[in-house]
Amino acid sequence: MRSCPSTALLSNRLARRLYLNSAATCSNSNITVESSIEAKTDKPTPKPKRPNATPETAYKPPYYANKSHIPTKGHHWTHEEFHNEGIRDGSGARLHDYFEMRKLVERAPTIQDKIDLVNPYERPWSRFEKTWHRTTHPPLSSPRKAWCLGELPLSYTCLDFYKYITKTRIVEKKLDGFYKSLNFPTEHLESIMGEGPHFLNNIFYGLVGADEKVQDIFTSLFDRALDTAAHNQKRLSEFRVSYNVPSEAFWIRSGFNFLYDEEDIVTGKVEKNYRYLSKFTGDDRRKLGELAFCLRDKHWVQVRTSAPSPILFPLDDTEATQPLFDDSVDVEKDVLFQPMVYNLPVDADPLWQCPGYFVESGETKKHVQFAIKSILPLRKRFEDYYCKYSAPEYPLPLQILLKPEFRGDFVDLVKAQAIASLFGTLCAEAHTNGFTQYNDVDRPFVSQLMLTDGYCCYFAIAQLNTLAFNIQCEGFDNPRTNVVYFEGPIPMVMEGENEGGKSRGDNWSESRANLPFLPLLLRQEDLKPNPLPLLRMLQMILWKGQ
Amino acid sequence: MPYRRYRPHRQFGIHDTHTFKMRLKKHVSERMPAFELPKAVQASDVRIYESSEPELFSRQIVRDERKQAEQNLKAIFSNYQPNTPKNVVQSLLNKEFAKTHSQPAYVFQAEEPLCDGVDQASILSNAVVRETLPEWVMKNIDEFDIPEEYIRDSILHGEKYDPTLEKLPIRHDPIIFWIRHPRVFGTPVVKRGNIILDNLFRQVYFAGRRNGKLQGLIVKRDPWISAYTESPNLFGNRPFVLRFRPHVLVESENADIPQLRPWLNQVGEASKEPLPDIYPISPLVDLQTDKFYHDYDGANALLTGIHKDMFKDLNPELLKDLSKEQLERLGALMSPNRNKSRFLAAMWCCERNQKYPWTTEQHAANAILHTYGLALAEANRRFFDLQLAEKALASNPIIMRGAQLFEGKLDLVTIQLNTMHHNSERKNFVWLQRALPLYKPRPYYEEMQELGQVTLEIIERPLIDRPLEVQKHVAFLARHLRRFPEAYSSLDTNRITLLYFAVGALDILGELDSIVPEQHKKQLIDWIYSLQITQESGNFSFS
Repeated sequence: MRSCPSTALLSNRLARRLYLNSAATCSNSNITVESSIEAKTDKPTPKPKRPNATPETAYKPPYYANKSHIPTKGHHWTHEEFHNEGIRDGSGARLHDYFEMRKLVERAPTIQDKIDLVNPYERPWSRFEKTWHRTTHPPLSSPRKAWCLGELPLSYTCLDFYKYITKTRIVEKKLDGFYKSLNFPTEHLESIMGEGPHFLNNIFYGLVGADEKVQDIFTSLFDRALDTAAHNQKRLSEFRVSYNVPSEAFWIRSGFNFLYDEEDIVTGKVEKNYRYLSKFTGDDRRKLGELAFCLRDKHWVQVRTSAPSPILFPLDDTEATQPLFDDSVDVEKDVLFQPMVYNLPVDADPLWQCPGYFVESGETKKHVQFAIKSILPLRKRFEDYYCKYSAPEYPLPLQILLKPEFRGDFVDLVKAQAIASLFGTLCAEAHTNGFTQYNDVDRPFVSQLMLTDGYCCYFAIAQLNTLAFNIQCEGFDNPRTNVVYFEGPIPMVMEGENEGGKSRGDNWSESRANLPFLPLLLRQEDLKPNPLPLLRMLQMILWKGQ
Repeated sequence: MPYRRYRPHRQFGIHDTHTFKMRLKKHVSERMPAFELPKAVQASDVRIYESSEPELFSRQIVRDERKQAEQNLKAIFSNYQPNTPKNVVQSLLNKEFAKTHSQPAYVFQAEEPLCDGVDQASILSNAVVRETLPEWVMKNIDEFDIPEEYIRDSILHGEKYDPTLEKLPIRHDPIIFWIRHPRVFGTPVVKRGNIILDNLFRQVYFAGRRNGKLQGLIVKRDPWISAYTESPNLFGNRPFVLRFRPHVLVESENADIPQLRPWLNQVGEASKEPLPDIYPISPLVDLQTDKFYHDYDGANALLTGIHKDMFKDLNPELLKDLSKEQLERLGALMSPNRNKSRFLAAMWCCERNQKYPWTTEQHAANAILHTYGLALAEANRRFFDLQLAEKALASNPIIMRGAQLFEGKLDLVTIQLNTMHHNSERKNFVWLQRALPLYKPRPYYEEMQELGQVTLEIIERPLIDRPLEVQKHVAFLARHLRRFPEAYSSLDTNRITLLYFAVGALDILGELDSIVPEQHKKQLIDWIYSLQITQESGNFSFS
């Protein structure tokens, strides 16, 4: 005859189930069924926020709880019944690890060592290692890869996602306020744009399928902009001007734990399944929901200086802690998807922090003051997507380009690119100045960017306030966000007035069809160059603060 | 056995199975179905040839086909309205100005070195080469105030700070050629040089702008240059085309600047100076021949973006609608001197070929032909016609400058283009300064850690004439009278020749008596006689 379990053991198991499955506490033995139902229907009271941990308060977890994901369900009666908070949500081990890592980074003798220490790149297994691996050895887990933000976004709705992964908010406003002290006569700039080597002709006829030609025009404009100020600005000779320079960075963004959610097909309950779901691409091997991202960008022109750019506001300003999204945005539902949804490719190549230079090269001009980047392929792709069948002519006339519905969607893409480029540049710059995601910046970093597709220009100025968003758990609250101020589009040409004093307006494309053999002459009458992009470029190059 | 091959010599796989072999055999034995013409091809009414026909590729059939294709094209173009401006522009925009010609041209594209160096370049460019600058030029050289730190920084930017990671060619060591060197990544040599040239130009130009001596210069980067000339005297009925791509092309907005004035006004007498004779080598031996090139019109269109055909099909009726200003602008476009800007100078960089390196002389010749090509290109783009250009050059010669960076050394060339023909009474003039050392670079497979000495004089006074450093030469030669360096150990049997050169050179410099005292002279003479083999030299026999 089988013996039944002892009553003591049975009561223990029952108590564990009650503790786990009801909101009532085990100590109240007189609890009724009604009261437990009421307790379930009531809104859960928000937990009091835990104070931020410090290296002194992040204790070393015990040896049996030194993992971030401790199963809180008791699988066996020998398991501990009442965990403390740090063990229950895994934050204890994570925070301790984070602060240990900070110590190591701070102890690293050179900046290059610091960057190598925080680099998530893992080399592929060598042939030797694969050849001599045996089943008795630990398995060769796949090396960590990064989700790559290429030169241009590959998705049409990626703005919010880019904001999230870089923790950067964007503010659309005119940038005149930043450059009040820098005023130049626009007539001279207008003449420069008009007298360029068939400038308008190139703008309207030379651009089809030729990124190089646009680059020639804009590098030439950049040189002319420098030329206008070279006679009385000796510091222009001290600038480092690079053409066609790579800008690369890597970083880790937390908050992707939802990738391990699993829904029970019977109960519909969603639970984390860290144990059996495989590690998501780009995540840490401990399945922390911290994905690695990298940016592989390229600038047409980059201007660097030895002195840091002036800051827009200090770190203790309220601007630095503005929320990333409005209340209307539900981040978990509308923004957070896995990166493949936004067409981000996986990158297994080595990762660099390279804001136009490598730190080990000993470069003395470390601060990126200004850069020009092309978005011409993006515009072409968007045109194909937007009006492949509706637009008879190619390239699109200016009117279509400036239509609000076209503009709205396209400008969102440009904003996303501005965020990615500026954050990448500033992240790399902060790393080359000795700051990492483990030892956050103690001063802001500022950079400026001009994006152009040949027809219109977009300008952005960004301030990096924080890098420490690679950890998300109780006891680590970082309210600081980065910010980008964005302006655009500013067309390269504006419609002039004809003899009657009226703008040509709708007849513009018609007249273009009548006299296309002399585009230069026609443009001179119909359109005139807009000096504002050149003016803004010059202001950004010479900017010394508000 | 301590060593055992891990991978079996012959690996067992699916192809060794009986099933696979049977299937393969069946697959091979199956006959392919006979080819049938698709219905679409049958409907198109095209003549089909049998592939087994012996005369399939004979000339007659090809000729018939071509004739048929031409007729089809004519039928298509009969509906074409040449006076429709839209069509004109579209055809012009799509036009390839470099086209295949029936007559091949001699082409210089800086791929092959000129074997006879500067002399050969002198003949090809019809130029008298001078290695000293005119006196008035020396007096009027501007000096710019550029701190040394800026120049060093400019060089380090290219050699050290640039983050490019491109695959570099595998190193080839001509001495220990059997060693396989690892592949390295980094900045290619040409890109390093281009960055340095960009920076140097900016430093000089900004310094000139601050002084007020330079103004209104426009930079073009990596433009395609193609220059065309004809000269039956040298090239027969073939044209001569020079095409290349300098990194920096400097244009001046204003045509009336002192830098564009000719250096030599009395061309007639100076032109009587003969060109060097390199017989039996033909000056054309290193030129390539190609049928695909820009002719004169093509070069003109390439350099200006405007082609004279644009105005050929111009419908006069459309001109009625144009305003006065537009007509003026159109007239300016059509006039011969329509380009306000002038090519002023160009800078480019060269890379050493690992297996077949060029000599310093060949690099100097390369620099001369580049600069000559630029001057020709300027003439090509300024005038619509070769004859017109020749006439204009007689009164207004073109001055062009070129700077070539090769392994930290600069070749500086200035050319005055007086004629485009080789049988003209006038000649061109070249002032050459070869291999002026600027800095000492590292090999391409290494990154520079420290920059050594930089010769700033070249940057600040780019046209300076360097005197012969007599004292250094004398010290060098005097050292050779005592002992030869270790590197000469392979020349041990030729010590007497080395001594001959050292003594001869000291004599030419006029320092023989001051360096070598009488006693030393006697010792040298004794030593020479000691090398003579006489009957008293001892038991010397081959047996």
